[in-house]
Amino acid sequence: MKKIIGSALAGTLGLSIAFGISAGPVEDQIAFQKYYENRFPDTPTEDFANGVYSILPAAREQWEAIEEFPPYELAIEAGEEFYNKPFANGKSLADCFGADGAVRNQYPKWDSERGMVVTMELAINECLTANGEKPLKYKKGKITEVTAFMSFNSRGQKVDVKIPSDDPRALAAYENGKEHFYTKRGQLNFACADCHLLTAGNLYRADTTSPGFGHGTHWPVFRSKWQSMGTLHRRFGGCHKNIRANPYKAQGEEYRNLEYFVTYMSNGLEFNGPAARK
Amino acid sequence: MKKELLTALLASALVSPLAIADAVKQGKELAWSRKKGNCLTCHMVEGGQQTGNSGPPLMSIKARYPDKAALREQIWDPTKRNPLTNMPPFGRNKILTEAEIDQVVEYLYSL
Amino acid sequence: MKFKLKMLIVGLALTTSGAFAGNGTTAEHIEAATAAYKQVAKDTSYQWTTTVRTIKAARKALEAGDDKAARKLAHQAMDLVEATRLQAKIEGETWQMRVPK
Repeated sequence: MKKIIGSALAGTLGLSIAFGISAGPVEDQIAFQKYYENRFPDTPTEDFANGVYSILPAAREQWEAIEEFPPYELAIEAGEEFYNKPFANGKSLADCFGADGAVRNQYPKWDSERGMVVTMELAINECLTANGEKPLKYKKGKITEVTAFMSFNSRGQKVDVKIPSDDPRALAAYENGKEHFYTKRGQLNFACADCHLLTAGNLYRADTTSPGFGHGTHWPVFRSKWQSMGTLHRRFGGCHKNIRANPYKAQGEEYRNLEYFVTYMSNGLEFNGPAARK
Repeated sequence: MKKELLTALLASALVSPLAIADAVKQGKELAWSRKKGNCLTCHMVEGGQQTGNSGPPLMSIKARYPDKAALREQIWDPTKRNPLTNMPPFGRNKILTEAEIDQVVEYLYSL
Repeated sequence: MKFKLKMLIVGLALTTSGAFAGNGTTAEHIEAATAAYKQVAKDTSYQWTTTVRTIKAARKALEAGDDKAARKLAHQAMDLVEATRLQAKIEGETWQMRVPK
């Protein structure tokens, strides 16, 4: 992995030198967001945080009705209880993330000390294990309750993922996530970008693909298809299975870097999780 | 690659009308099957339910591909002609066998 | 002995499926496909569910005593690994075309 990141970085630098261009993250982000704004001129920019419903008026009404009695409400309540429940050592998650846990806009973040992307889910488990508690599973269940509570209290915060320029490893992690987003994978040969950028809004069977702009804002999600809550990495895994790619480990480096890229692309939108999705 | 071309040539030159009709039937099954070709996920086909629109409708194929080998090539690996396509390379990625691709070609040519 | 077996597996993993079709036991061919799958995943991060499934089917066929079917599946798995490696190579050369400029 280190080698891949290293060569990805070297490749990027090489390209920049060879062609005299510097398509850095900022330029990427501007071009990315502009692409969707041009493709969906009727969608107000901030509305891309609402996923496919930002481009699908026909499904929006039903979705708004669901959001009035949200299927994730119980998860928020259970999450609040867990959040405030004292650990064996008397402390609680509140000692790590403050009284209300409204820290969504701090993640995903680059940890220069460890040279890795830290997501909110990872930070929650590190708080638990540092206090002698058992870590939670990363795809569904308790973790989604905790993040539902924390995300709910963070609603309205702006997505503001940072790639520190003083640590080249941060840029390498971003480039790694970017390359993942744009490379075709699995036996069926699909890139994230194929469905969620180049043909975003098109029909695959009866399903409209959502715009990639806004993908990182609204987690955790209650998905009708799952009939339960799930994390972003659970969804990544489902997408990969669909294209016959073996899913990567939830909260492994591959998915953390992908989350880093995807969320960075949505900088400027508001965090609006938890959410209901088809 | 040569092998595929040869198969295509053989299929078009030597096969009897009855065998072609059979290939069309099997090709349709493959094209419509969700586990195999699953063409309808992206392509509209007459009579198909819940067809997608990410690819062009499957119609007038003979007019669009007068050269049968070019059609076969397009199914085998469409990224050769257009790296930006989202159509899977059914041959290169071994989603279908060479014989199955021949059958799908016959089916498409009947549309 | 262990070392020898490892070398054999690596050797098989490096050759294409056609080249080793006649040599080694079916179990060795399955192990070679498994090793090749892991190697490509490690080298490129590209990994297909189809390959994993095919390897599993090969093991099952071998357990059931169907050597011929198991061997065929092992070779199919190796072909899928080769296709995965080719995909990674092609994508490495073309993915930048998809990035909005």
